[in-house]
Amino acid sequence: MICYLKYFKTELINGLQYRTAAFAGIITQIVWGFINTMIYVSFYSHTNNVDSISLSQLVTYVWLNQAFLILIYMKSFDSEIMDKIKNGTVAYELCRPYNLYTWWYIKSIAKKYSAVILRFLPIIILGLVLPKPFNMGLPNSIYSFILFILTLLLGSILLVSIIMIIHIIGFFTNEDKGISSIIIIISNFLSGSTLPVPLLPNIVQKITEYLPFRLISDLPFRIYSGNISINYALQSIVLQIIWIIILITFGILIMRKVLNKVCIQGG
Amino acid sequence: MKLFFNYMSVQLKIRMQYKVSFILSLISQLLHLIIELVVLDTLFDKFELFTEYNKYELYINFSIIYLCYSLAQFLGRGFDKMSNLISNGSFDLLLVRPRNILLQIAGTDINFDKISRLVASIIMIVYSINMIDCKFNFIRIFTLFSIIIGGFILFLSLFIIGASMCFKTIQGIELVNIFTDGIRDLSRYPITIYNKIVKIIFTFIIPLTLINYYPLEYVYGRTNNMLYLILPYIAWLFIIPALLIFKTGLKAYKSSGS
Repeated sequence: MICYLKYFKTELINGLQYRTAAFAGIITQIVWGFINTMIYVSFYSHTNNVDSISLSQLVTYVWLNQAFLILIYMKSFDSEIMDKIKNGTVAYELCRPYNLYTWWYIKSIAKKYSAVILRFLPIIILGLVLPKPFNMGLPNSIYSFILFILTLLLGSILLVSIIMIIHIIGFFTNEDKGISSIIIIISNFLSGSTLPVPLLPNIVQKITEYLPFRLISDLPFRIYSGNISINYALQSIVLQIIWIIILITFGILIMRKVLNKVCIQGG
Repeated sequence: MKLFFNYMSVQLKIRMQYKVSFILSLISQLLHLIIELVVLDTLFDKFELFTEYNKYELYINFSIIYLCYSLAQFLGRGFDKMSNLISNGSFDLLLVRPRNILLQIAGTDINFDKISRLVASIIMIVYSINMIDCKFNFIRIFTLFSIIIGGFILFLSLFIIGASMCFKTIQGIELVNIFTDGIRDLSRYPITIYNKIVKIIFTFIIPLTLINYYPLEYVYGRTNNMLYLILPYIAWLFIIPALLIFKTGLKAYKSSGS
């Protein structure tokens, strides 16, 4: 246990070194935030009969999405692990006396946390100080703020559990395009990263109810802006925990299966 | 030109070595297009904008931009990966060969995954054209083609400008992608929904409306102003500043290899 915690700490500190990359990332995210808010502001200026989400809630959603993008976006999965799988150095990892699933899990999540710690603050501050239609709102209430942080953390744990499954599939098929890219596109669509869930077509909204993806980012962001009531938020936290347990168990199980059959690349 | 086809066939052979992966990538690219279309459709549906805009005209606008973008990604992916070429020194290898440098860069990576997008967006355009009631004569079809070529040149020029940045920075900069991807995302929706500033930027700085909005107004038969037909060719000229930037960048280039 201590060894895992120490590994988490080293990976976190390691990730905090990449400041230039973070700077470029911040600028990219800010420009994307502007582009998206501009699109939505234009849409709302034409009609205001969208009742599922208001403009200020939506703009807040956009800025939160940009600020915490790495924590919630499926695409940024760990290329280092994929490289290890591809060139065969994963063999060394297997020799070491620790659980490979936990090890990779810690690596992925530490990387995400360190990247987010470097990025989120400037984006949030900018979002808060912008003029009226483009600005990010304050949290709806103190409770919704606390629940926002809690669900966001749980959401990131949930996301990494899904990413782990993609890693394991990659381990099995020896490639990182193909299947995983299909999973990534679908899950980003269903998680509300492409378009916030309240704006998705009604049928798709129904489908997302039964899937874990919307619990990653859509839930915390909507709790923050008060688009989701506190009661419903509390229920969803239970749902998040259930999904995390299911996905991690599933991940560990298929990891075991794969390790029995795996064929390592390279000599 | 023959050289470029050679490059293409080699790249295709490489890609075909991993058939399953290739097919799955084709599918995922297609999925991307479908999701973008769903997003467009639902947004306009939710905001009840279909009263103002014709659904199929929107599809055409969107598919044209998508086609141009995918075409540029298909043939110009090498520029996108320019940073790799420079940082590992293999760019010097290209420089010593007595062939056109731009052609060689483009030839380093031809992205066949985009083919499914190309085909799908062409199908979308043809389908939507059949659904709107306007008679297609020779001039209109010709204009449509020059629009597509204009869009392709526009995105390719943006890629070339992005690649020229790499001469200075060596590392690839994500910032360049914001321009190309951002423009693609903004131009997904009709330019008329935006405010003045955006319209001005997209007409005079990046000539997007010249390929997407004005000439299409003529194609849809809303105006008879023949002046609109010349506009796509002005967008073609965007390649000139791009090439100039590339030339100046090349002059300042210092090798990073050993």
